[in-house]
Amino acid sequence: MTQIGLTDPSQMVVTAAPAPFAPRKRTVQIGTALLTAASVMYFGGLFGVYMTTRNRFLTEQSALEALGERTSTWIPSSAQVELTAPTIMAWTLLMSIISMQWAVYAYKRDDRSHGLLAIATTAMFGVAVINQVVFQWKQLGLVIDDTGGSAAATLIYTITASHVAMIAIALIMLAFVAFRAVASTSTSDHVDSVASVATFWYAMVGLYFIIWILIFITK
Amino acid sequence: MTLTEYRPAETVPLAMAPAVYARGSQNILADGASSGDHKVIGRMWILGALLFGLFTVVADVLVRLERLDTESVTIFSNASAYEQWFTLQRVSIVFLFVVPLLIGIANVVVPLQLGAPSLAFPRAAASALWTWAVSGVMLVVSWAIDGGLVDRGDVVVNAPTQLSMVAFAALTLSILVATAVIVTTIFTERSQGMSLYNVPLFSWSMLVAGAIWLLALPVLIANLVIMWVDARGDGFHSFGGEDLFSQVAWVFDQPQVFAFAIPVLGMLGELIPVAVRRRLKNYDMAMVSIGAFGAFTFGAYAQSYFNPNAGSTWLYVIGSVTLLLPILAMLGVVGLTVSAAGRAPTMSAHLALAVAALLTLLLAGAVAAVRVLDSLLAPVIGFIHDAIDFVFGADLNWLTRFEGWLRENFDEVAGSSLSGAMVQLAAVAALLAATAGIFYWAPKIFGHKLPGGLGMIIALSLLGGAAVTALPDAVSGFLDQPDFVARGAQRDGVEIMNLISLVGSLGIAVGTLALLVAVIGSFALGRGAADRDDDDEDPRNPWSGHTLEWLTDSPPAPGNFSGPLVVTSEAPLLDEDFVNPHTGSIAEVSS
Repeated sequence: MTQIGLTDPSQMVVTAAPAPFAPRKRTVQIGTALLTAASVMYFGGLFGVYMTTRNRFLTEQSALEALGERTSTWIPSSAQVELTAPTIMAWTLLMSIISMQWAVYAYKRDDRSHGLLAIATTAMFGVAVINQVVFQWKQLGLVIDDTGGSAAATLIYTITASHVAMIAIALIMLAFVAFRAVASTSTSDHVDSVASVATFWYAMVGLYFIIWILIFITK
Repeated sequence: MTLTEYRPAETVPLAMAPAVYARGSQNILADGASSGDHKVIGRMWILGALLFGLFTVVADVLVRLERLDTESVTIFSNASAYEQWFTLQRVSIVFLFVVPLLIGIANVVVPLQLGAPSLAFPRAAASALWTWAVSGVMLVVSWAIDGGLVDRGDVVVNAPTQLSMVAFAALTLSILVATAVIVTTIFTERSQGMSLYNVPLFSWSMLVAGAIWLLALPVLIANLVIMWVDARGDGFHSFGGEDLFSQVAWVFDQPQVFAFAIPVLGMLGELIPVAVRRRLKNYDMAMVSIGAFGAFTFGAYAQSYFNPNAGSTWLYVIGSVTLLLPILAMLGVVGLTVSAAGRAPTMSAHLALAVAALLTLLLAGAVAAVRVLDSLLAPVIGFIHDAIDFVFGADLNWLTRFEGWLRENFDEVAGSSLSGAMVQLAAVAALLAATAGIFYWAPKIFGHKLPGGLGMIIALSLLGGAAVTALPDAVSGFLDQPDFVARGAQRDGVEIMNLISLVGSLGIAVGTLALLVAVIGSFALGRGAADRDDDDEDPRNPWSGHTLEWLTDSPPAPGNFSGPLVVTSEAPLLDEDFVNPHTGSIAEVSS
C-alpha cells in the first residue's frame, strides 16, 4: 500500500489523465439552500424565544393586574414604536423581490447590462433598508438596562440586528455575483449563482415580514 | 446490464499527469494548512478531535474525582470552578470531540463512497476546519480564564464569559459549514446511477444527521446570540445571569443529544453486510430506520429554560420513547441479514466497535425512556383507574398508589445525574461508531490498517467504561444527585456510585488514549506491522467491501478515481455487471 508521507514524486505513478467528470448539478444552489434553511432556523429560534418570553411576561402582568398591583408593558412606554419606517421597509423589500427576479431573468438571457442594473437596484434597496433600520433604532429609544423587567429590548435588538446582518451577507453575495458576471465572458454561466443569491434574498424578505408582524404590528 | 464506456486506464509517469495530481504529501501539518483535498482535511479533523478528546476525558475524570466527596469541594478551588469544568466537559465531548470526529471521517469517506473526486466546496470545508480549531482553542481558553456558561448571579457578565459565548457560537457555525459541505456533496456529487436510495448507509446516516444538525444548531446559535446581547447590559440581565448553561442545555438533553449518534446506525448497516459477505436485507428498511431515528432526535423545540413545560409535552414524551423503535428496527435488519447469510460474521475490531456502539445507544435510549416514564405512564394509569371505576365501580387503590409512586420518584430525575448518564451514553455510542469508522476505513484514511487487537481493547474500554460510568450515575439520579451543580442534598450511597462511575470514566479515558496512540502512530510511522494480515489480501480492498471507496488506492491519490463511475445498486462491487475502471474487469468481490 502507499504510505501517506510519500515524498518522491518520480516513484509515483497515477492513472492516465482522467476522463472529465460530469458537470456538477446545482451545487451552489443546493449549498445556498442549506445556508438559507439554517438562517431560517436561526430566526425560528429567535422568534420562538421572543414569543415565549413575551407570552410569559404578559401572563405575569395579567396576574399582577388581577391583584391590583402596578403593571408594565412588554415594550416600555418610554419607547417609541412607530409603524411608518417598518412599513416603508416592507415595501422596499417587496420591490427588491422584483428587481432580484429581474436579475435572474437577465442572467438567464445572457443580458449583462440589465443583469448588473438589476443587481445594483436590488443592492440599493438593501442598503436603503439598513439605513431605515438604523433610523428605527434611534427612534425607538429602547435601552437594554432600563426596561422595567421586560426582555423586549434585548430581543428586539437581537432580532433586528440579526436581520441587518442577513441583509449584509446577501449584499456581499450580490457583489460577488456581479463581479463574476463582469469578469466573465458569458453572463449566463452564472445563472446558478444569481439564482442562489435570489433564494437567500427571498428568505430574507420573508423573514422581515415575520419581524414586521411580530414586533412592529403586534407590539 | 450496466456498462461503463471508460477505457481501462494505463499507468503513466507523474509528469504526464494533470497538475492537480502532481502535488505529493509532505507532512500532515504542512499539507493540512494549505490543502483543499478532502482526505487531508478529514485527517486534520480526526487528529484535532482526538487531541481535544483527550482533554475532554481528563476533564471528565477530574469532575468525577470531585464528586467522590459530596460534602465539600476538594479538587477545584470552589463550586463555581467545578461547574465550569463540568459544563466545559459537556460542551467539549459533543462539539470538540465526537461530532468533529464524525465530520473528519465523513470528509474522507463520503466523496469516496459516492465515487466523487472531491467535496462539493473544498475551500469551505478547509475554512470550517480552521474556524473550528481556532474557536475550539478560544473556547477552552475562555473557560480557563474564569469564563464559561456557569452561575454568574446578578453580577455583570465578565469578559471571559462573553468570549465563551462568542467562541461557542463560532464553533457551532464551523460545524454547520462543515455539515453543509458534506450534505451538499451527497446531494450533488453522486456517481451516475446512484440515486439517494442507493447511497451507502454511512453516507445516508451523515445526510440524515447533517439535516438535523443544520436545522437544530442554528437555534443554538440564536440562544448564544441572545445570551451575548443580554450580557452587554450593565448589570441587568433579561434572562438572568445565574442561568447561562440552562439556556443551551437542550442541546445536551434528550432528544437532541441523540442527533449526534445518528451515524451509529449507519456504521452498523455498513459493516454487517461486509462481515457476512452479502447484501443487506431490507436496505430500504434500514434507510427508513435511520431517517426515522433522525427525525425523532430533533430537539430545538424542547427548551425547558424558556418553556418549563417543554419536558412534559406529548411530542417530547412520545418522541423520547419512540427513539428506541428505529434502533430496534435496524437491529432487525441486521439480524435478518446475518440469518440470511447462514454464517457467522467475520469478527474484526471495527465490527466489534460498531456492535458496541449499538449496544451503548440502546442503553442510552432506555435511559431516555426511563426519564419520561412518569409523564408517559402516570396519565395512562390514571385513565385506566378512572375507566375501571366508571365501568365496574371498583376503586383500585393500588393503581392510584402506583401512579403516585411514579410521579414521586420520576418527577425530579429529569434534572438529575440520570440526564448526565444519558448524555454520556449517547456521546460514547457516537464515539464508538466513529472509532469503528476509523478502524474500518483506516486504509483509506491512513494508507494502512490499524492493529485489530488495539481496536478490540478500545471497544472493551469504551463500552465497559460507558456502562460503568453511566449506570451508577443513573442510580445516583434517583438518589437526588443533581446533573451538574455541586450543591444539593443527596442521599446515602451517592458517593459509592460516584466511585464506580470514576472507574468507568477511567476506562473511557484509556480507550480514548489508545485510539489517539493508534492514530498518531499511523501518522508518525506510516506503514506499520499490522499493515497486512494476509499476503493475498488486496491492499485496495482488504475487507472485501462492497462500496466504491474500495476501488481506490490506499490511501487514494488526489482526484480519487481515474474517471466517472456508473453504478446501479447500493453495493456496486457485488454487481456482476459492474465494470472496474481501474482494471477494466467486472466486480472483484462477489457473494
